[in-house]
Amino acid sequence: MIVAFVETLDGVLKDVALETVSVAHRVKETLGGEVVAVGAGKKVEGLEQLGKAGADRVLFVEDERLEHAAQARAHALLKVLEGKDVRAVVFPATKPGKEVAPFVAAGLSAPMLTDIVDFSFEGEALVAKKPLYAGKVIGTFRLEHPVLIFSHRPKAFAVRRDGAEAPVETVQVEVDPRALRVEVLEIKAKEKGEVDVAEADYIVSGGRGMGGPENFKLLYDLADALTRLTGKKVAVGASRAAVDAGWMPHSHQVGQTGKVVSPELYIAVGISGALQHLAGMRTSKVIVAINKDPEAPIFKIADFGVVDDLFKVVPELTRRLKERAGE
Amino acid sequence: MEVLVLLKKVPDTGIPLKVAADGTDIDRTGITYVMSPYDEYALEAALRLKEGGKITGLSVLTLGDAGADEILRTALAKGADRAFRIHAENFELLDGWATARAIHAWLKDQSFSLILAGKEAVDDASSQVPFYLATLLDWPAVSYAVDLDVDGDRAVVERETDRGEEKLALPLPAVVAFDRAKYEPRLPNLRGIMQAKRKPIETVSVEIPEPTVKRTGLEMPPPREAGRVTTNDFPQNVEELIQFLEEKGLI
Ligand SMILES: Cc1cc2nc3c(=O)[nH]c(=O)nc-3n(C[C@H](O)[C@H](O)[C@H](O)COP(=O)(O)OP(=O)(O)OC[C@H]3O[C@@H](n4cnc5c(N)ncnc54)[C@H](O)[C@@H]3O)c2cc1C
Repeated sequence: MIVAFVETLDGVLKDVALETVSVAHRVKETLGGEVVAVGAGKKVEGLEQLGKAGADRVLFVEDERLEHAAQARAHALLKVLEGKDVRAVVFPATKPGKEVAPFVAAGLSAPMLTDIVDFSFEGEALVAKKPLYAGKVIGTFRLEHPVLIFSHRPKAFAVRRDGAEAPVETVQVEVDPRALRVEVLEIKAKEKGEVDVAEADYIVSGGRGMGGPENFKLLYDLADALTRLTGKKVAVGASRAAVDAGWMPHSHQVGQTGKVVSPELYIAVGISGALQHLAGMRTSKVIVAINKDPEAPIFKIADFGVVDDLFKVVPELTRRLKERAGE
Repeated sequence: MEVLVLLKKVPDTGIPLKVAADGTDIDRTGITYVMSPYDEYALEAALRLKEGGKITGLSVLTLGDAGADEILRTALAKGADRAFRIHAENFELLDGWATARAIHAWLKDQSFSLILAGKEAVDDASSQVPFYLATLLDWPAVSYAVDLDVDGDRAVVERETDRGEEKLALPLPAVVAFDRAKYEPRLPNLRGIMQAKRKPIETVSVEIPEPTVKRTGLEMPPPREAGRVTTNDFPQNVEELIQFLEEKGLI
């Protein structure tokens, strides 16, 4: 069987799970067998929807203790897979996926590939492409192994939607106390409602040019106008300069030491376009840059550039978009 | 209590790279190397523990070629006590599973209580080695740490996940992998640099397993089509931007 890891967070099914299942389905086209979507953690609704993306069935280990530590989740997954004919295990290369996957691979004493953006097969060997050196170069890798384990870059693969709902089975496993050695002392949950840059359809990002934390309101207003007009998930991102200045939390940072994103639209506002920033957003489908310096390197990779003061351009853009949304 | 920090030599992140003419490697001319940024945060956390009297010894380990001694020297100059290098000429071509087994071959005879690393090295961003190692050692491990303290026989980790900020406790011995920390890594000072010259770097030979994941090619990413920059004045430039977004079907 081909296993797709189902990413969930505190009882919510993540959109990326549909991509992971779609990728697993593509593996099945070559290796055969069934696609089994497997997750673990707090109880989740809507798992049958994974069938639409190609899951033949869904197995879910309902156990709150597995929600926090990746090692515990991996342990549950390994228990579920014990004794089964597993040919491949697919994970999303998200923050949680990149932590769970190596524990599962280690548990199977198997190698793995992280963050692939494309793949094919040579016989039963996986031939995959993955960005190296923060996307400056793309590498091709060949993996021949009885169990192929890899993670896929989010938003790099199309989601299937032509399947039927899948049967969902809740399973119990006996959890080894050694897998539960990580103890939770305290959780400060993020404010709900704000879209994470890693999951956004569109991102509006601000840099040092924003001049101060209060001005990020301009970007939140623009994000809001875009959401109302298009219904898309729009997030506000930031360059490292803006994060280092304390204007935005690190969870919003895009780039080499922040998040790697590939939204449909990335609007860089007051961001110069340093290599380490480009590392995080150069695979965005459409890039727009707003910067007053015509020499800013961001214009070299932007599909559309506006050379002007952001404090004029952004409010005007927001106003026009709101107008269109009928406000 | 002895702490080990894992470090990897990577090309400086600020340098553009291209594929060498024969296509088997990146063009190495003019490239300078640094310790991978997340490793540097892990090292900073360890240095702070040492200054706080929470640990007795701080060692660093790299698996790499002779050139990787330079990042070990930097770590010694910042305040690490001992440095080890597992010699591997082809370290960039090893997969995480091979790397972790090579490190484990050496580590199993050592007596560290805490191993720190970056959540991933920025060359292949694989996020594998610390977690393979933790499994081989049967130690608890977490990633995405932004701060760390040692409290008796446990490590207290603050970390950033998709959920928010989490504070976790791991019984020692444990592995902790760092994201960008709450603090910036220090630069070595002159005194540290002088002292580092007298500290030994021990080269270790272990059998390096063959990688199962084999790199078969390198290419440049598809270039982005040259875009257009509006030459119109405000507010026509905004009008043109809106037209562009419309053309692309984005609004
Ligand atoms: C190891 C390492 C990792 C790094 N990781 C990251 C990372 O993850 N993400 C990241 O972003 N950076 C990262 N950096 C930092 C990176 O090198 C740059 O320093 C940073 O991206 C610069 O941010 P910026 O573009 O906001 O600021 P600047 O480079 O200062 O650019 C500000 C821009 O705003 C424009 N501007 C100013 N005022 C206005 C105005 N009124 N209207 C319009 N435009 C205006 C200016 O023309 C300028 O182009 C990293 C660096 C290192 C060494």
